Amino acid sequence: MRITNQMMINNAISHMGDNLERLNHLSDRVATGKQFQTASDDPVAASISLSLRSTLKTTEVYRSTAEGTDDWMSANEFAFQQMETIGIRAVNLVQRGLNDTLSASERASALGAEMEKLLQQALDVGNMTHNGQYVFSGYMTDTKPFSMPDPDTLDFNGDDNIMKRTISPGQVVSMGIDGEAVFRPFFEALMQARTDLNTNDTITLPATLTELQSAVNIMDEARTSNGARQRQVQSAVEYLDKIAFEVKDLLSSKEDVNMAEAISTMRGQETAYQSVLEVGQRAISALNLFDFLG
Amino acid sequence: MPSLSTGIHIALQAVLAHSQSIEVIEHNVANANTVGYRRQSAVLSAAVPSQSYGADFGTGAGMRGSGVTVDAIKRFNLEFFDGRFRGTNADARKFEMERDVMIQLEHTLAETGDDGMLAHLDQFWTGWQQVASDPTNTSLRAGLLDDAGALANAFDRRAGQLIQLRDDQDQAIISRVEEINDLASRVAETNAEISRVLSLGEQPNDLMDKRDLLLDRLSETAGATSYIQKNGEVIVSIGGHVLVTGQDTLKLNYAPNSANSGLVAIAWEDGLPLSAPSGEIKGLLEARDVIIPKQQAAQDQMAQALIANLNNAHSNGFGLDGSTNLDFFTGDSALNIRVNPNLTSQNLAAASSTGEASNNEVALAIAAMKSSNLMDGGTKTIHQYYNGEITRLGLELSRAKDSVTHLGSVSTALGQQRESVAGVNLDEEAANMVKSQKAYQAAARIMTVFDELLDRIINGMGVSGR
Repeated sequence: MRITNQMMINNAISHMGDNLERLNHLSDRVATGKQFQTASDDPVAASISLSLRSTLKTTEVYRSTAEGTDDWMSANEFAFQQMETIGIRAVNLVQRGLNDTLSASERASALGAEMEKLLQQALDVGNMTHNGQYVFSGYMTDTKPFSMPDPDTLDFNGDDNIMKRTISPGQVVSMGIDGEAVFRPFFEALMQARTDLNTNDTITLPATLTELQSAVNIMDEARTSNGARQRQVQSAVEYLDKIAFEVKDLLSSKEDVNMAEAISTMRGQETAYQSVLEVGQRAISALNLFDFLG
Repeated sequence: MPSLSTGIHIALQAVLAHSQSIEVIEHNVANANTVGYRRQSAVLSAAVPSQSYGADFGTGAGMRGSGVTVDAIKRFNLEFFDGRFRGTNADARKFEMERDVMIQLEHTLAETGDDGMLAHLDQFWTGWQQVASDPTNTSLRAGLLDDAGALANAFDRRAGQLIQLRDDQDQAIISRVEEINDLASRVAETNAEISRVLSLGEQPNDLMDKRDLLLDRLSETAGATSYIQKNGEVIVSIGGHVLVTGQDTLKLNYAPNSANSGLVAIAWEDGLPLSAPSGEIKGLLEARDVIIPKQQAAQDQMAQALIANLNNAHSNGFGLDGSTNLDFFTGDSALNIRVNPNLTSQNLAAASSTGEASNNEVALAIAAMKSSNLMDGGTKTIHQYYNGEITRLGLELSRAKDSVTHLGSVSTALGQQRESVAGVNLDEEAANMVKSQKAYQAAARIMTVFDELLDRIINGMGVSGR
C-alpha cells in the first residue's frame, strides 16, 4: 500500500485519541470506584444493580416495620405480665375470702378494698399506651379503650379490629389484641369479686373464683399466642438482616470496581499511551527525502 | 536532414516540459496538507515525430523524433472509492448523531445515580410502607408527602429536559437543511465552471477536488449520492429525489408542523417529503421523532399509571381528620404530575374507614402497588417496566456506539485507500523532482551544445586562411 505523509499523521492522531479515550474510561472507573457510569457501559449489570437497589430499599423498610411490630408486641407482653401478677393476687384474695374465719367487715375493709385497687390497676394496664397510642383499642388507637362510668359498669370504647403489619412480601402478622374479648371477662370477674367481698356474699364467691380463673386462662392463651407471633417477627428481623447483607454483598460485586485490578489495568494503559505518544511523535516529525537532498 | 535550429527547439521543449513537471510537483508539495486534494502529475509523452526528408528520405531511417510534450496533467482519483467511502461515512454519521442523543438521554435520566427515577419511586413506596407501619405518626405522613413531591418533581424535570432535548435536535435539523441547500448551490456553481473548462479541452483538476469535498459533506449530512455525467457535471440526489442536476438545484424547505409539537417538517420545493436514507439529518430525525418520544411515552405511561392507581385508592380512604374523596396526584402526564396541593399530614388517607386512627388498610394497599403489575396491560410492575426501558436504552446506546466504531473504522479504511491512491507522498515528490531536475539540466546542457555548434558555423566558418 502506498503510504502518504497525511496518512501517517492522521493515523498517529487517531491512535493517540483512541488510547486517551481508553485511559479516560479506566481512570473514571478508578475515580468513581464503580464498574459502570451509565447503563450503556454494561446494560445487563446495570439492570441487575437497579433491581438489587430496589430490593435493598424494600428490605430495609420491611425491617424497620418488623422492628416497630416487635416493639408493639413487647408492649402487649408487658401488659399481659402485669395482668397476670394482678390475676394471681386477685385469686389469692378470693381464696382468703372463702376462709370462714373472716368476719364480714374484715372481708370488706381488707380484701374488698384491695380488690378495688387491683381493679383500678388492671384498668390502667388495659388503658396502656405505646408511643402515645392506646394499645388495646383496635384501630381506634386515639380512644381510651376501657372506662367505668359507675362502679358496676365497664364500657369498651375501642373496636374489635386486629392491627396487622406486613413484615416481608406476603407475610402479614397480627400485632394487635382484641382488647374487649381478652380483658372484659377479667375486669368483670374482678368487679364481681370486689362486690362479693364488699357485700360478704360467700355464696357466690366460689363461682366468682372459677370465673376469675377462667378469665386469667383467656389472658394466658392470648399471651402465649402473642409470644409465638412475636418470635415469628423476631426471626423475620434476623432473616431480613441476612437478606440485606447478602444483597449489599451482591450489589457490591456487581457495581464496585476491584481496585487492584482497575489500577493495574489503568497503569498498563498509561504505559501504552506513553508508547503511542513516543511512536506518534516520530511519525509526525518523520524526516522525508527533501531533508537529505543536497 | 537535421537542422540545428530543430535541435535547439527540441531542447527548449524538454526544458519547458520538465519545468512544467517541477511546477506540478511544487503544487503537490504545496497541497500536501490540503483536505480533499488529489495529487497530480504531468504526463509526458514523445511529441509527434516528423517525416524524414531530404537525403534521409526513403532510406528506411524512419521518422525523426521531435522531443517531449506535456500531454495532460493527470489527477489521481478513483470514483469507486469515493462512492463507497461516502456511503459508509453517511451511515457512520447517522449512528453518531443517534449515539450523541442517547448519551444525553442517559445523562438526563441519570438512572444509575442517586437521583434516578427508580430511587425516587423506591423512596415513595417506602414512605407508604412506613405510614402503614405507624399510621398515626404525622411526621412519617409529612415525610411521605415530601417523597411524593420529590417523585413528581423528578417526573416533571425529566419531561422538561426531554422536550428541551427534542427542541435541540430540531435546531440541529434546521441548520443541516440550510447547509444542504448551501452545499447544493455550491455544487451547481462548480458544475458550471467544470463543464466550461472541460469544453475548452482543459482538465479542471482543482475544481474537481473542491466539488468532491462538497459531495463528501453532502453525503455526510444527508446520505446524498452522485453520478458524473459525460460533460463532467454531476447529478446529486437524496433518497431518489434530485438535489442538483447540472447547474440547477431543487432546494429543501422546512416549516413548523403543528401535528408534531410545532417541530419542523422538511419537504422539497416541489412539495414531496424528504426521505433521507442515512447521514446526519437521518440520525437527527430518528432521534427527534423516535428515540426521544419513546422515552417520553415511557415517562408518561408511568406517571399516568401512578396517578390513576394512587387516586383510585386514596380517594376511597380516610384521613386522620376523617376527610375522604381526595385525589393524591393531580395532572395527567409526566410533565404536569403534582401532589394534590390540598393534602396535609392530617387528611392523607391511610385508613379504610373513618375514626380509626390506626387503620392502615389503604396505606398497605398502596404500598403493595410496588409489586403489583400496573404497567403494560397488567404484566409488569412500574419498576420492571422502567428498568426494562432503561436497559433497552442502554442496549440501544451500546449498539449505536458499536456501529459508530465499526462503521468509523470501515470508513477510515476506505478513506485511507482513497488517500493511498490520491494523497501526496513527499518522498515520492522529492524523487520525482530530482528526476525532472536532472532531465531539465541535461536538456539545458544539450541546448548549450547546439549553441556551440551554431557558434562554430556562424563565427568559426569561412575564416580559414584569414
